[in-house]
Amino acid sequence: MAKRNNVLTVQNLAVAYGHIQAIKKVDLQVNQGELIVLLGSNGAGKSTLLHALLGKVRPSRGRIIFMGQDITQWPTENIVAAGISIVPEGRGILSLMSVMENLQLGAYHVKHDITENLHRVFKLFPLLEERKKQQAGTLSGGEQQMLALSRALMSSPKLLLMDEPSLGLGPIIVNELYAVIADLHNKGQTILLTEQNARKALKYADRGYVFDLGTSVLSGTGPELSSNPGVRKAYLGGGD
Amino acid sequence: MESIIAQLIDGLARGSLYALIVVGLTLLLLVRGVVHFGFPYIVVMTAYLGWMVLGLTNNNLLISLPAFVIIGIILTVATEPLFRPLAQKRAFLETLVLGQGIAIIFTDIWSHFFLHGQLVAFPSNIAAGGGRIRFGMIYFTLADIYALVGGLIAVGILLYFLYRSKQGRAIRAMAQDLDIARSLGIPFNKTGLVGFGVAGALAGIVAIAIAMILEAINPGIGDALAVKALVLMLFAGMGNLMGGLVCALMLGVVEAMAQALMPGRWTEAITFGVIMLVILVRPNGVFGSRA
Repeated sequence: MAKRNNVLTVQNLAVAYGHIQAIKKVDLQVNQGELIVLLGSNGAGKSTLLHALLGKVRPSRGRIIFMGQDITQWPTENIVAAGISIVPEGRGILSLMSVMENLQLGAYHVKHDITENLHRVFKLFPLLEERKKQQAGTLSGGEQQMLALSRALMSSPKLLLMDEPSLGLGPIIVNELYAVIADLHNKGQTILLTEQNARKALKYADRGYVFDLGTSVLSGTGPELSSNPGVRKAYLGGGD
Repeated sequence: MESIIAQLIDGLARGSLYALIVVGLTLLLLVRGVVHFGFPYIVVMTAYLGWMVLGLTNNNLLISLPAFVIIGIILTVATEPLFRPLAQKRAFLETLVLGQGIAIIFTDIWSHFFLHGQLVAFPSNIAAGGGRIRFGMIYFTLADIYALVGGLIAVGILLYFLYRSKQGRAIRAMAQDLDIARSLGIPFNKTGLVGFGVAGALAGIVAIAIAMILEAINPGIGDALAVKALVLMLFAGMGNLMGGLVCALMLGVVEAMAQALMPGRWTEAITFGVIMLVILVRPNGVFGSRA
């Protein structure tokens, strides 16, 4: 198989909030069509990395290369316009606005008519079409997660970020969500997600990175990480 | 009866003047999370500069009226960078201080450096809207009609902008959750400038309405307008656009009625007395949520 195109490269990245060093040293790579999972406990720097990729926090060192361009210092709107979109932690639905308006906002940087994009996400989640005029805050938690994912897909992103997508969702909804993620992955969507539900994520991921105290300490394919004793001990609930 | 109808028309016209200021302030609150206390003073500044343009152009309305709007936009947009750092930190109360600073400086400029703060009268082709109308005992100015109709049109356009346009949607998204709006790639600076620009156009329209309805200005008008606008915003429920509109029209009518039915200078006391009572009963404003 030919080497796949590189979508994202993070080199020697460090991010600090004031005196707190949230990311000390992170190196990672995401190739075209890959599903990559970032594992690690709370405060390991996974979410901070996603925020840095979006330009919402400025790295103190290192480089972020996206589609061959150095975006380390770009403002967020340019990064989103270039093709990175996010499903925020806790879903981040604009609850007072309608489902439709949330989707329209997801396509803020899309220059052409968005009918086709709407059609695509409605095909993925027909329920959203039925409820497009409904206030987004009235949707259930699972439905809101579907809306957040659809909103992120509205811009046809080259790289889709998902921050703790299964957080706060019941096991049935999580299964449905991962079925959709796997489907998107099969269709070639490049995805980078953070997840505390390591077992679930590693089952679907091509590769993963393990974060500890702001450093990317380990990387490997899904099966490699699943069978790694350290990973098993820390994230998969002991030696089973 | 006829005099009451005339007062009602006059009250609604005044009310639409308040309504436009409240709508402008609410828009600024939405787009930047700031209470721009200086906004009514920008309106007065615009009225002064508009008066000068009238003088320079031999009272040519075709040039002067658009000039009012352009001046309003320039002045309002010019204050956006001042609010930006506070808005990014969501420092709500501090923005009140900043707005008050703009208010005092603007008022002092006109008080000290321009005709010693004397009353400046607008020419007859714009004052009173250029004419007066009489139906039997009912007597009002064309300005009342212009202010009412113009106010309605301006508010209609604004609502369309906020609820139907892409930029309006972006402004409402920023008002609701700045962090998420940023994550969606909504540009903080550009969207803020657009919001301030639209509010500035409103400032220009209000300045025209002031020239027509009040027919003259002095530096102190800013204070009267600012206090009423702020009270109206609190009264209606902070950030509630429709509530602000309705309350503003009501205030205009109550004022006009108090003027017609009560002796002399009790108008303000009565009006604010009513507002105090309502606030005691409904602390979150007439249309505010109870949450």
